[in-house]
Amino acid sequence: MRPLLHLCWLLAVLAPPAWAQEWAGTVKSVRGDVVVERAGKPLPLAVGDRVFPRDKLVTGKDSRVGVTLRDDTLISTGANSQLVVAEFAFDPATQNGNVLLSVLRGVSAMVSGLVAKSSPDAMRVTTPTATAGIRGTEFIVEVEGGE
Amino acid sequence: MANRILALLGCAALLAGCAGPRERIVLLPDKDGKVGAIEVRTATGTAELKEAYAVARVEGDKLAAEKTDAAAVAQRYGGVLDGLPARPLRHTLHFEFGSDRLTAASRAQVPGIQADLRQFPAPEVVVIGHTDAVGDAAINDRLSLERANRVRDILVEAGIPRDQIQTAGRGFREPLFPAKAGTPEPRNRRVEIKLR
Repeated sequence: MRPLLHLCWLLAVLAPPAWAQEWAGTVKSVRGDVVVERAGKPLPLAVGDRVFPRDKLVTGKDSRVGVTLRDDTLISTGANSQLVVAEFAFDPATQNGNVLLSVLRGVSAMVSGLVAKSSPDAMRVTTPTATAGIRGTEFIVEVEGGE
Repeated sequence: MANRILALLGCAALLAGCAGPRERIVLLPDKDGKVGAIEVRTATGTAELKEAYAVARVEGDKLAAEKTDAAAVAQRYGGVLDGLPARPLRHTLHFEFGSDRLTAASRAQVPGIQADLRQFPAPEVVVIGHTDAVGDAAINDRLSLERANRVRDILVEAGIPRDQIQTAGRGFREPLFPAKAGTPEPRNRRVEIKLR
């Protein structure tokens, strides 16, 4: 019984969590008060941290965060804003994938990457009331008085 | 009387607030002046943004197409645009014919790659191998990944931390020079280095 228990612990510690394989991007800049809400918990965010699908980036007053996704999509999220990396998939061999970003409040600027080039509806950005199909390339999404 | 008007105005403002968030989607020209396209859909309509500074504005259940300009964008969104991470930089390396050794010219590019990489916070190197279209897809996928891994090892020897480097093999999906399947085209056998 005991060795089995130890083995279970060992496997739990060694086995990479499922998301380890599917990180979406890397934090490139942080100014001010920036957290990521992951599985309902707020965590501080720093340059070099990875961003995962379903992460919600939350910025405070006079704050902003810059993220580069694995398909070269660039994101800057401004002050008092919330952005969810709702879905992200990218195959570096075929360069096909799926990007879905949700601007819940505030403002984000974006430059689309390889996924948007792969097929017309592969990259979408949603707001509380609209869905934008991104064919390219550089754009801003602003939600005043949102969530 | 004045109080009553103020109260009415307050109600109107409240009602406008209740109508839901106000949203704007603004299409900008790319760095090189080209303009992409965005299709915006709501429950009640669709707007196609195709020109630089085209705006889709959503207020309540109304979707309107508008236009803005560079000065207004700089004023309202200058800060968030400044926060965009740097665009990736690219280098291309070639191998000596039929070998896994870089050409002398490509080896000479390595210090420049290291210098470029230092511009990026939390730097990432993506090494992407390419082949020509001799042999089947599976063989070329493997060969292109082997080339990418070989270049990764060269970059690690040059001092770039291994954990900053990702590799991928694109096989023959992205030829620089079009060639018939089965025809050797050495110029397509290459490794692209993307820094970001």
